[in-house]
Amino acid sequence: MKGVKELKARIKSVTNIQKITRAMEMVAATKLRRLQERAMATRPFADRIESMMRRVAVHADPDASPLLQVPDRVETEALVVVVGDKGLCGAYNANLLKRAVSQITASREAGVATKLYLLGRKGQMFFAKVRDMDITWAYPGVIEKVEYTDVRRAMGLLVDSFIEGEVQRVKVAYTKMASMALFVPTVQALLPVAPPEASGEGVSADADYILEPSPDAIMKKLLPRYLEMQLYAAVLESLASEFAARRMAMKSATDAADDMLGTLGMEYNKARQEGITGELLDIVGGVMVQAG
Amino acid sequence: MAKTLNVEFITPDRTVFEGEATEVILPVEGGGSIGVLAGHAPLVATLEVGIARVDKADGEQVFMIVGDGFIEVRDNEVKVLAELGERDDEIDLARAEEAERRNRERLKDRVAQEVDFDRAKASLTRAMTRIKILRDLAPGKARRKPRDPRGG
Repeated sequence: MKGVKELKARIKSVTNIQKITRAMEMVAATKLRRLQERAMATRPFADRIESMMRRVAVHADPDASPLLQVPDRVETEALVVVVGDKGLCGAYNANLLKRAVSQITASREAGVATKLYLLGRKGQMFFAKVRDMDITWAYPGVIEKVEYTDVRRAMGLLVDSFIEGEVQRVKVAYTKMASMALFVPTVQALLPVAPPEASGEGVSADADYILEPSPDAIMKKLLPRYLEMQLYAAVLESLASEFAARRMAMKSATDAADDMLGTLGMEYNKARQEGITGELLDIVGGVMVQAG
Repeated sequence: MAKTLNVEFITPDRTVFEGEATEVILPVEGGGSIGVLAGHAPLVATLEVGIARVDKADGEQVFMIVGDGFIEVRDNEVKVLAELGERDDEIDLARAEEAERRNRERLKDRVAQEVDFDRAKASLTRAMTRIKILRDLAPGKARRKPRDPRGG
């Protein structure tokens, strides 16, 4: 049985930690909500770009842009890895990094080298320690503050590298948010672009569309936007997963602290009572001796 | 009542304008503008940096700087998808003037500094377009609130 003093100190420290985890839980929840609003705001643009692609793809030459061309041989691929800057979010970072490593290993076994493009400090820290990693680019900013223009710049680098033939394939490893409690590390191909299926509403009726200056020219301009939106969506979804994962981790930490406080409180009371009983016995003993 | 167009200006992170209009004028690639009225044929076109004008159904005129994007017209709906989109009442005149001055300077001694010529030039065009909107087209509409640092 621990002493009363020790127990009191532990209760205090657990209470303090619980205050922090509770605050972090609330911060993560707020950030998640704000991010969801942001993700919703990008929806109309992304949806429109995609439907426009579908519409124009019917008329454009499949070889209109080098971004559509499937290379004969793949020797090098670029992998964009999207993780967080910080921990305390359960296995969010670890799971994604594990998925990225298995992708790199699989490529290596197939004779394909990987160039890494990293977003999120945890990825930079992780891959800096792994041997034989070619880190081509790393996002210098804070991942939570990432903006469309940052993603656009990164995508620009990837597109240039693809056009110049340095890489023959571009993929992105990010965390998909299947539900509020389920986060799936995913690897998705970006380049070469597989245009969305030319089907769906109203495509056949589109024969009379005026396309200015030409279907190919529009396609050429649309493709980079389409890619940027895809990468941006991947980044936002990863961020949402991170916040949701952190909220969950902090909630279970707060709950665990509650349990611990319950046990400690009981132990404390027991120790205190025992102390009092002991003292009483001493007093009674003393009185009896005096009365002797 | 005359037929109206349903107009939407969308950028990657927000909807800049949404409403009914009688006419929309948009800057298209290759220089020049197109005007869209109700009943326009279906069209997809690429957009250039410039000034868009919307004649709203209630008679008000709204000017916008738009750039780098696409226009889609279909069934009396005009969708403008652009990287850049700012309404006249959102433009920060002081900031635009500062950008104009800075980029002129940059372009002047570009040989010495090896500045990114295209970028500086594009930036100058945007600044001048913003200034033009506020000085000539929609005087007195400049934004008053401090700018959202996330905008650009």
